[in-house]
Amino acid sequence: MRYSNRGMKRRGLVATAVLIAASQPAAASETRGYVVSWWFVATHTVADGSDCPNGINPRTTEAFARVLKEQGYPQAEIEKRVIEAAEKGQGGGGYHQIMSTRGRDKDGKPVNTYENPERVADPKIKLSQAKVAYGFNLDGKVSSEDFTDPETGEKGIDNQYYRALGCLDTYRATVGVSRPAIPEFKWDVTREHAPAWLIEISGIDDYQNDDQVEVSWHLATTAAIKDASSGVRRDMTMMVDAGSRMKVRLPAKIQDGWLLTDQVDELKLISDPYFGPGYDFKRARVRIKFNEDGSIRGILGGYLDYLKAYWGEGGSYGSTWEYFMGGDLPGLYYAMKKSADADPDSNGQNKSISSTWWFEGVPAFVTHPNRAEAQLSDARKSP
Amino acid sequence: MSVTNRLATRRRFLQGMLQGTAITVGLPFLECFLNGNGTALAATGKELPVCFGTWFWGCGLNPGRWEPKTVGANYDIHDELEPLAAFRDRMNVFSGLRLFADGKPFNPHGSGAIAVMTGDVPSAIGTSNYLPSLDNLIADRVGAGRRFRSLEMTATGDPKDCYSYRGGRVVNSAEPSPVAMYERLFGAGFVDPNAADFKPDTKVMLRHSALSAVTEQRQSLMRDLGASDKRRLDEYLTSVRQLEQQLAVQLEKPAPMAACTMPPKITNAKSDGLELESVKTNNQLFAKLAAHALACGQTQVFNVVFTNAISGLRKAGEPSTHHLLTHEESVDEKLGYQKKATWFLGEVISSLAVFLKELDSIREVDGTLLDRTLVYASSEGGLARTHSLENIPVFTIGSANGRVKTGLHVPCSGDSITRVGLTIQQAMGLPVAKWGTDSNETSRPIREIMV
Amino acid sequence: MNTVTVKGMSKRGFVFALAGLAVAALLGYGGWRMWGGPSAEDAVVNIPPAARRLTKLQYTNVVSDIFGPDVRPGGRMEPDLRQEHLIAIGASKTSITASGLEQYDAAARGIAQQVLGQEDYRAQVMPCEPKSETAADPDCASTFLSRAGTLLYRRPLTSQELEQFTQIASKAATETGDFYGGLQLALSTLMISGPFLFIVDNVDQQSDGEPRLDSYSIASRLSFFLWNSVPDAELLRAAEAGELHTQKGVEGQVDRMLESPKLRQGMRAFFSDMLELDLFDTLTKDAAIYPAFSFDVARDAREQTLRTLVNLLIDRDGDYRDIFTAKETFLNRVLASAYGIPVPTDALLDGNGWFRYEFPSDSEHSGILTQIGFVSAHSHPGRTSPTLRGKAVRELLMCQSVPDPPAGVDFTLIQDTKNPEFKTARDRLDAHNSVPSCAGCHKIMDPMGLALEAFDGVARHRTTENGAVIDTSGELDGVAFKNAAELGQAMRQNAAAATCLVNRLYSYSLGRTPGPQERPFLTDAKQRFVEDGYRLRGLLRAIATSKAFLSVKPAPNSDTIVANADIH
Repeated sequence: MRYSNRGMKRRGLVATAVLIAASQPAAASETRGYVVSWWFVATHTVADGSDCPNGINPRTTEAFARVLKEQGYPQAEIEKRVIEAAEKGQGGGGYHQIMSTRGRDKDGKPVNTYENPERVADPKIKLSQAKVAYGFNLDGKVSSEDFTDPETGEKGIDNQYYRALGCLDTYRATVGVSRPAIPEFKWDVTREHAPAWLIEISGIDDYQNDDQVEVSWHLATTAAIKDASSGVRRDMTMMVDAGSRMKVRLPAKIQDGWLLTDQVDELKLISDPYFGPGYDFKRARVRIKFNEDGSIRGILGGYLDYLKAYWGEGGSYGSTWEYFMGGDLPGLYYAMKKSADADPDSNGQNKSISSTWWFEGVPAFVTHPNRAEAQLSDARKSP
Repeated sequence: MSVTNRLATRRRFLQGMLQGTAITVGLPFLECFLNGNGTALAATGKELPVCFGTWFWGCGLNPGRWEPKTVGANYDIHDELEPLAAFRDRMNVFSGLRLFADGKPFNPHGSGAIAVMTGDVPSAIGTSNYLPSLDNLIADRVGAGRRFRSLEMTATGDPKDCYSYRGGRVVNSAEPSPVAMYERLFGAGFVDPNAADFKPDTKVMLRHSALSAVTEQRQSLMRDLGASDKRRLDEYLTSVRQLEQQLAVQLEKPAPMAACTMPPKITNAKSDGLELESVKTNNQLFAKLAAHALACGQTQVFNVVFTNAISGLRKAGEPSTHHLLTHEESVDEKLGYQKKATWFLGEVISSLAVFLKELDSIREVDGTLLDRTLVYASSEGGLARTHSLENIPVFTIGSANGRVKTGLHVPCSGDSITRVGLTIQQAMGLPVAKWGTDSNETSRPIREIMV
Repeated sequence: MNTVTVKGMSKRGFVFALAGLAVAALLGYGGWRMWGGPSAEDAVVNIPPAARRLTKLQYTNVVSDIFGPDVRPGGRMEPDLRQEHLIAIGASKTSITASGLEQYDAAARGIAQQVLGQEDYRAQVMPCEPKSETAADPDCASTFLSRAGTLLYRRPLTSQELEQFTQIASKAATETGDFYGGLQLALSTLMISGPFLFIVDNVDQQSDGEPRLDSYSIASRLSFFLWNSVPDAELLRAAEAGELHTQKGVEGQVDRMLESPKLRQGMRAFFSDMLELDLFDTLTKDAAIYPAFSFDVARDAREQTLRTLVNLLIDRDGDYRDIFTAKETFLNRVLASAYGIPVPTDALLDGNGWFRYEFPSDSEHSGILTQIGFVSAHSHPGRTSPTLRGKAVRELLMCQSVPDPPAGVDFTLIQDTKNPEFKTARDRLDAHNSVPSCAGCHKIMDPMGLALEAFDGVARHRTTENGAVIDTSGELDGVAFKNAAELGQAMRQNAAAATCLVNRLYSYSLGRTPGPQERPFLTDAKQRFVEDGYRLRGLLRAIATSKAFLSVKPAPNSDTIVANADIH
C-alpha cells in the first residue's frame, strides 16, 4: 500500500535488539492507537450455501404472507397487501400494524410482538449448519455444536450467536471479503454520531513475538470522522473519554504476529443507545492482527445474555428490523434462546449465548486528558 | 445597431402598457420582433427556428482509426467513430483537416481549442485579444429574439471550461451544474409557450424598465477611459441590453411550440470534477436540458464542453488521467495505438452519441429537433500524443432544416479546419466570404455539403 | 460596524478644501517622497485611467462591509479571469457577459431582499420611515438611496443618478403598492450598474489644469489595494475633504489602514491571488488514492497557507524570505490528520479550532512550499507532478516564465520502452531532462519539484515511491540542495523571490503589469524593501503612497499596449 510502514522496519531492528544479549539497552516499548472503523457480528458464509442445507430463511414478503395466512386473510387479499408492503414500505398493506401486534396474550388479545416474543408461536427459523466460524473455544470444551475457526484451525469454537442468524439473508457475508449488509448499515450510521471506540495496544517490544502487551478499549469524546472515500480518516487525534464507565484492559501476548489476549471474566463495551445497549461480555477474549498498512483487524469473542442480545440485535427496532433485515424477529428470539449455550438457570434454560464480533481499526493518535503528552501511534511520528 | 433599435421600440411600446391593469390578451405579435430568418409558428406552417451548437472534447482522436475509408455517401463508420453509427446518415465527417500555427508560440491544446472555435491561432495565449467564436457570430444572427442569446454548459465542473469567445478578452463562462441550469431555464423566469393564458408579470416589467437607468450611465461611466476600456464597458452594456431583451421576452406571449415540454426537474447536484462517470452524467443531463431548451424556444445556440482541451478525464482509482496517458503510455505493439488512452476516446464519442440522442428524441413536425439543428463537434488537435495539429477530427451532425447535406465523408487533405466554420456560417445565412486568419484564412466553403 | 447608517454623508458632489487646493498646487513632479531623498518617480508617468471589474472576493467583501456579514450573495458568479498571473490584472481586461450579468442580477435581487425585505434588518439600514408602506415616498427613498449609493459606488451619486434611481423606486412602489418592494428594485439596480460592478477611475483637474485622479478614485484604489473592499467612513470623509490630494493626507490614511484589522483581509486576497489558491475551487483528488483529501482538507489547506503568511508578514511584521523556511504554521484537527501529526492535548480540548504548530527543526516541512496549499494544488488528481510544482515555483514565486513545450514532440518515443513502469517521478522525468529540446525548460523547473517529491499528492511526507528511495537533491540557480528544507533555504537566498513580490504587489495594486516608466520606482522600492528587512508593511506603504500609484494621465482613445517592465 501507499503508506510506507516504517514501523515494520523498526520491528525488525527491535527484534534483533531483543535477541542480542541483555548488555544492550532495550528499545523503548511502543504504544499504538486505533479508531475502530468497523464492528459487526463475525459471519463466515459458505458460497455454495451448504451452511444452510434447508435453505435461507424467508424474507420480508414471505414472512408477511405467512403471518397474514396464519391470521386467516383470504389469498387475494394476502397478495394485495404483500405487494403494497413491498412498494410502499412498512406503511403499505398494514405491514407495521399487523406484524407488530401479532402476539396474543392469554385472552387472545393482541400484544406487541417484539416485547413479548413468547406470545408468538415459534416459527422455527432455520439455523446455520456451518462447520466453520470465527471465534474462540470459550468453554474449554469441544462439542458437536462447536465450530472450527477459519484462521487458526482451532476446534471447539463457541459462536452460537452466528448459528442463530447465519441463515438470515441480510447477515450472509464472509468478513474480510465482504460485509453483512444490515450490520454494515447499522454500524455506518452509528459511527457518524456515536462516540468512537479507541483501541490502544501498549508495551509492544516486538510485533512478532512479545509475551507481555496490553490491549485497552476506550470510548472517545468525539465520533469518528470520515475521509473522502467514506472510510474512517486515519491519523486523527482522538481523546479518551476518561469519565466513561468503559474501562477495558486486557493483558495479551503476541505470537508469530498474532496478538491474543487473556480470557477475562467481564468485558463491557459501551455504545450509543441507537446501536444497542452496549455489550456485557462474559469470559471474553480478543485476537488482533497487524496489517501491513498500519491498520488492524481482529475478533472479539464472549458470552452475551441472550435476551439482551436479542433486544440489541433486533428486538428494539421492531418491525423496522423485520421489514429491512428480513423476516421474523420472534423467530430470531427463539433461535437465540435455543442456541444459548451457557449459564443455565434453575429451569435449565441457558441464559448466555456465545458470540464473536469482527472489528477493524485505523491508526490514530490516542490521547488521554490526564497525561502530559499524547501516547502516539509510533509509525506516525512526524518526520 | 439594429438590435438596439428594436429593443427601443419594444421598450417604448411596453412602457405605454404599464398602468397596472392585468393583460390577459397577448401583445400583438409584431414581425419586427422576429429574427432575420423568420421563425417559429409551426401552427402557421412556417419553419421552426434553426439551431446551432458546439460540442467540444479534448485530446483528439487517433489518426487512421476514425477516418472513413470511402468517400461521399454511405461511408464506413469504424473503430473510434463506431458509437456514432446510428447517426451516420445525418452527420458529415471531414478528414485531413488541420490548423496552421504560422510559427506563433504554440500552447499545446490551448492554441488549438481557441483556433477551432475562432479561426485564429492566438499570437500569445493569455495576453492577446480573441476574435469572436463561431457560435457568437451565429448567435449575433439568430440569438437576438430569444430569451438567451446562447447557453454554455460544461460537464467538467469548472465554469472556466468554455470556448465561446465574445471578442477582446471576454470569454463566456459555462454552467457546470445541471441543477442550476434547470433553475435558470425552467425555474421562475420560464414562460411556457404552450400555456393557455398569459399575463405579463408587473415586476418583470418594472425590472425591464429600471434597466434604462443603467444604460443611460454609459457616457459618464466611460468619460475618462481609453479605447480598449471603453470597448470592455460597451461589452458590459451589451450584456445589460441582453438582460433587457430577456425580460422583454418574458413579457410577450410566446408563439406556441408543439414539441415543447418541461424536462423532469433536476435535483441531484453531486459532481466529482473530471471523474469519468461524473462527466458522463453531467453530459446526459445537459443534453436533456439543451434539447428541451431548444424545443421550447429559449435559445437557438448552445455550447457544450465535454472535456476541456487538456482533458484531465480520469477513471476513479487510477492515478493517470487521459491526458497523462496520451503522453506516457507506450503504443501497444499489436494494436498500434495506446490502449488505455484510446479507451477514454471511446467513452468520449459514446457520450457525443448520448448527447445527440437527446436532441433526436424530441419529435417535431417534420422530423426531430436534431434535424433543425447543426452540431459542430470537434477537438483541439489530432494525435494528442504529439500535440499534433493535423487530422483534427471534425463532424457536423444535423442538417439545420436542410441547409446542409448530410451523410457524407469529405476528405479535405491539408486544408484548414476553418473551411468547416466558413461553410457553417454561410449555411446559416451569414454574409461572409472568408473566415480565419493568416494561413488559416479560407474563402473556400465545402461545396460538397452545401445545398 | 460599517453598515449603511453612515452619518454625515449628506453632501453630494465634490468639495475641495482650500487647503487641499493649496497643497495640490505644490504637487507636481518631485512632490512625492517615500523615505526621503530624491525620488525615482520624477519622470513623467503616463498611466491611463482604468476600469476594473469587482472580483468575486471583492464582491463578497463589499456586500459584507456595507450590509453586514449576515447578508450573503447567493448563487454562482462569473469566474474571475487570470491574466499575466493575477486575477487583479484579469479584472482590468475582462468585462461582463450576458450570463454573468444574469448572475449579478440574481445576486443583487437576493441581497436587496435580505436587506430590505425583512423588518428587523430593514430597521438597521433605513435612515427614515416612509409615510406609508404601501405607496411611494420619494423623499425617504432618496435619503436611503443617497447613502446606499455613496457606499456602493464609492462616491456620491450625481443628482441625475439619484433622481433616476429614486424614480425607479417610486414607480415600482406605485405599481405594486409596496414601498419597500420599490426600494428593493432601486437597490438591486444600483448593484448591477456600471459604477458598482466596475472600479472606475474618474479624473478631475488640478489647479494648473493637469488631470489627476479624483479623491474618490484614490480612496477606492487605496481601500481595494490594502483591504480588498470599499473605503470605510473615515476614508470617504478624507476623500470628501480633499485630504487625499495631499501627501500628508494620503500617508495618514495609509498608516491608519495598515494598522487596521482589515489589512489581513486585504493581504489574504493578495496572497490568494499571487499563489493561485483559487485552484482549490475546482481541485479534486481521486478518493481511492488520496482518501485523506476531503472537502474540509481542501478548504482548510488554503486557510492554513493564508494564516501562515498573514501571521508571519502582518502580525509579526516578519521577513518575507521566511515564507520558504518557517517551521511554524497553523493547523486544525482534520488538517493535522492529513499531515499525520498529533494534536496537542490543549488544542484538542479547545475543540476543532486552529492551533499554532511548529515542525521540528530537522523536519523537511519548511515554509509554504511544503504545505498542502502548494504541493496539492500543483499535482494531478491521482499523483504528484514535479513539473507542475517546479513551474509554479518559477512562475508564482520567482516571476519567471517557462515557455510552453514545443509542438510535435512524441514523449513515448523518448521514454525507455523496455522499462515502462518507472518507480519514481525522477525516473519518469529522466528523458525530459536529458533530451536537449526538452531539457532546456525542464532543467529550470523539475529540480525544485523533485525535491518536493518527498511530499505526495496531498503533502504527506514519504521517503520512497513504489519501493524505490526518492532522491530529493538538486540545484536552484547554482545553489545546491539535498532536500525540501534546503530548497527552502535556496529560495530564501534567491534574489528573484523578493523582486517577484515587489513586482506582483505593484501589479496587483494597479491591476496591470508595470510599464517601462515605472521601472526606476520598482528598482528603488525593491532596494528599500531589502534594506528594511523584507518587511511587507513597509513595501505596502511605499507603493500606496507613491506617485505611480496615485496619479493618472489620461491617454484618450489611445490603445497603448504597455510592455512588461518587471524588474529583474
